[in-house]
Amino acid sequence: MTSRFFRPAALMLAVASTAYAGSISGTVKCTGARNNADAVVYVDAIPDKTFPPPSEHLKIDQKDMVFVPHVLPVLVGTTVDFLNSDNVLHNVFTPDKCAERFNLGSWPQGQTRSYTFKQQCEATLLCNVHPEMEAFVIVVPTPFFAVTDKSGSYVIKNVPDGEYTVRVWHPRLKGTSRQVTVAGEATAAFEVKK
Amino acid sequence: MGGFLRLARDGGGWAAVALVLSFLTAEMSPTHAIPAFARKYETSCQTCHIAYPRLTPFGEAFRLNGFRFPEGRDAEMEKSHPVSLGAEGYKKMWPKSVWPADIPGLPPVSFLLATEAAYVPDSDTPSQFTEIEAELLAGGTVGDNVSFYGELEFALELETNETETAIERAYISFLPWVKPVFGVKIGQFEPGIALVSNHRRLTGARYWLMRPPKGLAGSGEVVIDNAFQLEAPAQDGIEFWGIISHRALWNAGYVEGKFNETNNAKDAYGRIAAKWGGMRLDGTVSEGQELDIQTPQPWRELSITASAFFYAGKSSLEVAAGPPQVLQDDDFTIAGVDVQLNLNDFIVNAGFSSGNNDNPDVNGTFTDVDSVTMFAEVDWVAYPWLIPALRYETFELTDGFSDDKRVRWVPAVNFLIRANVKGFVSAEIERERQGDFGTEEIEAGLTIVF
Repeated sequence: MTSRFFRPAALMLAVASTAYAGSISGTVKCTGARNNADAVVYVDAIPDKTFPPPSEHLKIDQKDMVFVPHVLPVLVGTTVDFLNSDNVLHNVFTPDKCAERFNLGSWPQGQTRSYTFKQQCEATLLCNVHPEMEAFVIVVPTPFFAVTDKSGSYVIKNVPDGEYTVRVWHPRLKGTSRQVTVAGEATAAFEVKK
Repeated sequence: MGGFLRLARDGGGWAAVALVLSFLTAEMSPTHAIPAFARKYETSCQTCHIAYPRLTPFGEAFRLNGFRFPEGRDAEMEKSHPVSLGAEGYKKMWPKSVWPADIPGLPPVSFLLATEAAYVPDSDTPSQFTEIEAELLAGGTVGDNVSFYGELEFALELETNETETAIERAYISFLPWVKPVFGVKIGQFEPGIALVSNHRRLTGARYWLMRPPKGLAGSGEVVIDNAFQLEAPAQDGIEFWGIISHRALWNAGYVEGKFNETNNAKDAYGRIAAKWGGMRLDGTVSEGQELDIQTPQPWRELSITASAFFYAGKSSLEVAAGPPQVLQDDDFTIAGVDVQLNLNDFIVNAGFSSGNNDNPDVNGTFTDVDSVTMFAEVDWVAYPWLIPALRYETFELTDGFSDDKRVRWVPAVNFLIRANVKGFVSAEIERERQGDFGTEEIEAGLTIVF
């Protein structure tokens, strides 16, 4: 499930703590959605635990008139670079207060603009040049997260043993959560619906 | 998604059909099915229809959900990709943005070709070549809340070489919530007053419930000059509807009154219905259950649905004597009940209505006229491709007009050559007043929709 965007964060976690050997895996059934992709599964805030954001920026591209990736979970404090790979002007803004309703303006092909997501947030990204374009940055409190594929499968790696609240977010469906105990490997299945 | 819906697929695929020679007919059989939905969901007509246009229980739920799969699962079932007119995120921007929606990815249009043959015994020319009919049908959704339906008919009368173009139905409907507890429909539509529909019938002849005869006095004089029909073919206006607790349906409408556009008065109606057994009216299922459409027999269920309606209107009639365009008003009311029994392969519909016309006779001879209409119909799905139907209906004037009672038998056989190619034979055998039964007309027809 890892993509090139997630690899830097995953590597950082591996270097930071070699004791994180557990994982949470499972499926999310997205009832009412075209398929089971794009659900974000993440471990909610852990009392008395904070996690430094990655120094390497994550990326969202605007290519062929779509945001890539469509859904990007990030740790609080992460900076995201927004690249325009199309030969038209694109814009990135969000209507969400938790992301300061930022508007990065419009810029041409090849250029990049950045924003740091400073607080927990479910930020919808829009382009005011192309109203059909949409993406989501889900800012979460821990580095333990994953995005489901079309089959709904996910794997959250390097989770230390313990008991956690695991939440699921979806762009179109109501989120859900449950308690998960990690002792090495843990599995958890979810269903989200309208 | 594999276990969600078992679809009845047409194993024969689409077939090319040649138009056949046909004969003049008074009432074209309804053939209103929307292959645009078949394309949208990549499913057979039989998912929603019994020998189109009659609907299966799921087809009714689909219709009542604004042409969407129930429980907000439309996106899950749609195979074509809609075209976004604005991302969902713009809802957060409203009113500083246009509320977003999407339009069908495939053109939401279908085509219908129909021809018929008719044998009218009492005519000078009992068998004649026909009127060929073509229709452009459009139906679909815009975003999560808006739906539309349109039907444009082109007819060519071969005898006179005259063409006629008419909009049969055209409306936009709005359902604010996923659950169809409240909806509004604006445009030209068939009032939702009964469980039967002239647009979804399996016989050639329309229901007298919707198009009552005029009634004859003992002298043979026409009693009811009011040309009003409940559905002729559709009314212009606004209708509200909703489903409560999954199994109760209500409708309320405010319409122009067909053929009564010359007066300023509007007609109003209301209806309530309830269903016991079988699929819920809104197509939802209980918690933990999966929707199961029995295939290849999606019409099969055991249920009973009862409905009651009331309609009040004012018709403007042209007075025979005096300067033209002088009108008299006929206030009329109609109240009725009808019931539908789904007994697996048998579908039984029966109904009764009672009407009163205040001033229906342009000559002023008859006032305060009461009439009663009754019908009972059985449709039998003998095979998925062979559906006979038999209807019995009566119309009579009461209170002094006891010698005027019309009785009609309407037998019909529908046969599907392919899921989208249908043939039918239908007859009208009528007895007027105290006479003998006679065959008014025998129709046979062939249609293709694609």
